[in-house]
Amino acid sequence: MRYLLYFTFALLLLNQSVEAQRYTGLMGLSWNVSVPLGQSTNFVGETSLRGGQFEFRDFLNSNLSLGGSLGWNGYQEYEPRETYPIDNGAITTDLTKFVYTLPVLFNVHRYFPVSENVLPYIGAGIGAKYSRHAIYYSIYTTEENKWGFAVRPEIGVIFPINDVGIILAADYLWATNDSSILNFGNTSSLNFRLGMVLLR
Amino acid sequence: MKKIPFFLAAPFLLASCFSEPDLSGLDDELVVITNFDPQADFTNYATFAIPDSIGIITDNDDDEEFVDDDKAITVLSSIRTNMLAAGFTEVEREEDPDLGVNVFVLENLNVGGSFYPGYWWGYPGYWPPCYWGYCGGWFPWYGWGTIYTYTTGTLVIEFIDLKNASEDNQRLDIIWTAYMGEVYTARNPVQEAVTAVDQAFRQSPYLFVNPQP
Repeated sequence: MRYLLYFTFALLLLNQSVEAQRYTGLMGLSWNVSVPLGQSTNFVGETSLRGGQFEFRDFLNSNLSLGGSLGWNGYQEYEPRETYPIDNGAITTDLTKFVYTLPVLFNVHRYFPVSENVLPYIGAGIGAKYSRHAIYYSIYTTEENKWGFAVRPEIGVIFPINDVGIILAADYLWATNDSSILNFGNTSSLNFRLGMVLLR
Repeated sequence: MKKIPFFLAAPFLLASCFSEPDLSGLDDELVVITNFDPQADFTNYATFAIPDSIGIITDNDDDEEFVDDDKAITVLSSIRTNMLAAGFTEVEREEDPDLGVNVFVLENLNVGGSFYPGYWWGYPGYWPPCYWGYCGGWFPWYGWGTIYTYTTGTLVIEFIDLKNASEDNQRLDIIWTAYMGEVYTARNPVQEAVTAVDQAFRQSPYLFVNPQP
C-alpha cells in the first residue's frame, strides 16, 4: 500500500504542462488479479487469478473522466478432509471454499499526462458489490449471497498508441459485504490489472 | 465498429464463466454429518433393534423401494458392529428395545419447501403396516435440531427413542442422526458407506458411554 501512495504523490508532483491528446472516451477490458485482504482472508486467503474488469470512461476534458466499471473475480481454496464441530454434532468432509465477487462502480479519474503515449492517472470509485460465498462438499453447497456498498481508490497508467492502448492499474477495493456465519465483517482486496483499451 | 458489440458482450460472458469453482479437487469420500439431541442422556439406552433392510425414500414411482439386499447387509452390519462397540445390546423388535435404528436412503425427494420427514406416510417401512409398530397419529420429532434438506443420494441413520415413546403426544423423538452422501455418484458406494458409518460413530464419542465389560 505504501508504494501506491508514493506513486500517487509522484503523479501529483509531475509537471502538468504536458497536454494529453484530446480523447472523448475509452472502453477497456482487463485481466484482474485480486489479493484478498483483512477479514476476507478469514474465508479464502488465496489470490484470485480468475477475474477481469470491463470499464468505460467519458472525458470531461483532457485531464478528467467519469465512467463506470463491472468487475468480477472467483477465489477458491481447498481444505482437506477434516472433522468440524457444529451445533450439537460434527461434520466430516473435504471442501472447496469459493467466493465470487462482482463490483459495479461509478468512477472518476484524474490524468497527469507525461507524453502522448504515457497517461498516468488516479481514480476513485463508489458503488455496489455483489458477493457469493459458498462451501462445496460432495454434491452439497452451503452459500450466502450479499450486496454491499463499495469504495475503491485506484492508480494506473494508460499507454495509448493511436486509438488503442495498454492499461496497467492497481486498486484497493473495500466493501461492506459481511457474513456472521463465515466470520467476517467486511471484504477488501488489492487488485492488479493488465488490459487493453479502445480510445476515441 | 462491429467490434463494439462483442466488446460489450465479452465482459458478461467472461464474468459468468468465473462464477463457479473448479471442483475436480474434491475427494470421493462421503460427507458425514452427525447431530444429537442435547437433552438426550445416552447412558439411559441399553438396547437397540435394527431392521434387515434399507428403505429408499423417493418421489419417483419407478425407483426401487429397497436397497439391494447384498449391499444393505454390508452397511447394516457395519452399523450393528459400531452399535455393539459403543456398548449397546441388540434385541429383537418384539423385545421392547430402547432405541430403534432407522436406516434409509433419500434417493429422489421433492421437498417442495418442507422437509423430508414427510416420508413418514407410505414409507416402505419397518414392521408394517405401521412404523416401528406405532400406528395412527404417531409422528417423528426432530424438535432439537437442524433438519437437512439433502434429499438426493443420502444415506441416513436415525436413533428413535422408543424407550420414552409417550402415548400423551404420540411423538417418537429422534435423538441422533447421521447423514452420509452422496452415495449414488460414489465410485464404490458400499465400501464408502461403510467407511462413512465408521466415521459417523467415531465423531460421536458421546454414544460410547456404556462400554461393554
